[in-house]
Amino acid sequence: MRREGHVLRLVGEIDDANAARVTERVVADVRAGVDRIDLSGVHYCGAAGIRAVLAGRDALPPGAVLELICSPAVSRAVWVCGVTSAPDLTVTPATDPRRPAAVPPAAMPSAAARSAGPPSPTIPSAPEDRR
Amino acid sequence: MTSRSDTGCRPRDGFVHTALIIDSDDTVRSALIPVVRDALDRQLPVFMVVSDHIERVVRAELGTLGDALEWGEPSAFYPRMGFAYEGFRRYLAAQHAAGRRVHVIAEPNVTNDTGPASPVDRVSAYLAYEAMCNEAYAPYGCPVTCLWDSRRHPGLIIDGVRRVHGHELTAAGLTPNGGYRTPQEYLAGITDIPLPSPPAQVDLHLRLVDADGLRPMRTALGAWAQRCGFAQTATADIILAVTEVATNGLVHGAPPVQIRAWRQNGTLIVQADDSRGRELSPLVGYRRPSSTTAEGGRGMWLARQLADTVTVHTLPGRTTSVRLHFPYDVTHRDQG
Repeated sequence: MRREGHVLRLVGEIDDANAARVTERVVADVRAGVDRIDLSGVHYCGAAGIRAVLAGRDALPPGAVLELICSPAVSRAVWVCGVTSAPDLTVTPATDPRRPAAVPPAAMPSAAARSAGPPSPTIPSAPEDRR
Repeated sequence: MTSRSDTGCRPRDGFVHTALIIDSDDTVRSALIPVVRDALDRQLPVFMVVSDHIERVVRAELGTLGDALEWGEPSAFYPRMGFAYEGFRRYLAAQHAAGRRVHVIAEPNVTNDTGPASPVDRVSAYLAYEAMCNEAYAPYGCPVTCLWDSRRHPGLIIDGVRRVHGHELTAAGLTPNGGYRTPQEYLAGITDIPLPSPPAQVDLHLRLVDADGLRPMRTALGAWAQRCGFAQTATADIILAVTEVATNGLVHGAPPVQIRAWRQNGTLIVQADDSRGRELSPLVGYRRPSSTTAEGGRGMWLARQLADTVTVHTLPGRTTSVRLHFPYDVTHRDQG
């Protein structure tokens, strides 16, 4: 788990063994200004992971939107659970698991799905690009 | 022949879940065709997801009018059972959101593919979803008529079909089904059936004492499913579904949780047995979880969506067993 600016990046697996820790971190970071969770490096996510990100969504300040960048494993759980339609939440599949989150919105194939919110001017650059 | 409009249950009145039991092509002509014509007369779109045979009979009767119907591909609408149930719901929700009312006429393409040696009665299992449709599809205001062919399904199944549809369509029109059971009543009646014993020799036998066992379990399951020839996406679905039922066993049941995995006729089967034996609600996993809450309740939904069939049995105070079935064909046919 690593925070860079307004992005929290999670890597590995989220299950019941670490869900409490992940949830606590997600909620704390969202309260501290994170509005994007980069899950493109999460290769296992089930109900426990969904609960963690929804807890983060619930910790948003009024009017804010949380963006999830999803690996295929996360996208699968999110889709099956119908979370794509959740309020205060946008769900974006990561096109390239190694360098999705910091790609400028205009360069992403799924940019249209994100157009509801203003493009973020403060996306951190190089470091998270290459992980 | 006029009673259809006399019952007060015409499809225009909103969601009506109707069974049409077909025993001959004549039934299609005498019972279904008038309903289709009636819908077309009233400009109500009709969405047909039926077998090739029924399509031929309908088209032969309607002639060029057959092209006014919308035709869906049955194999796309009947993959794994949970996906079929939820796929139709998503279709209906989309119609509703677009301000559209559609009469859905569907012939469930559900069979016991592997014949009498099938490890689970898929058709019986499907009736549980048919029961849940009465609740899940009701908000969208679209009539749904299900075709069940009594030449293909045994009498016990047809009896079950009548219990899960509020109405029956015959040549005499639409009539309420006296034997109808609510989803709760129907599902409560089918949870007492013990599961057949797992084989003495299984491919995997793991014992989880806490959540730290989940990760090695996933590794073992993944290797096993791939050894059995399952593709990566199908394997990921198995791992996800099993992790959920194992987690439920640990959290809502009690450890240790035993995981056994074996193969039968091209179907991968995984069973989780907890050490508590608390009865599950009959509806668990059938109701779509809300995305507005961070509360739990998604585990069995995930399992029922990703596995083709899920069977559950509790020995009170001893163990709750949840068995997941992943037939090769169905699990690879559709990735959702």
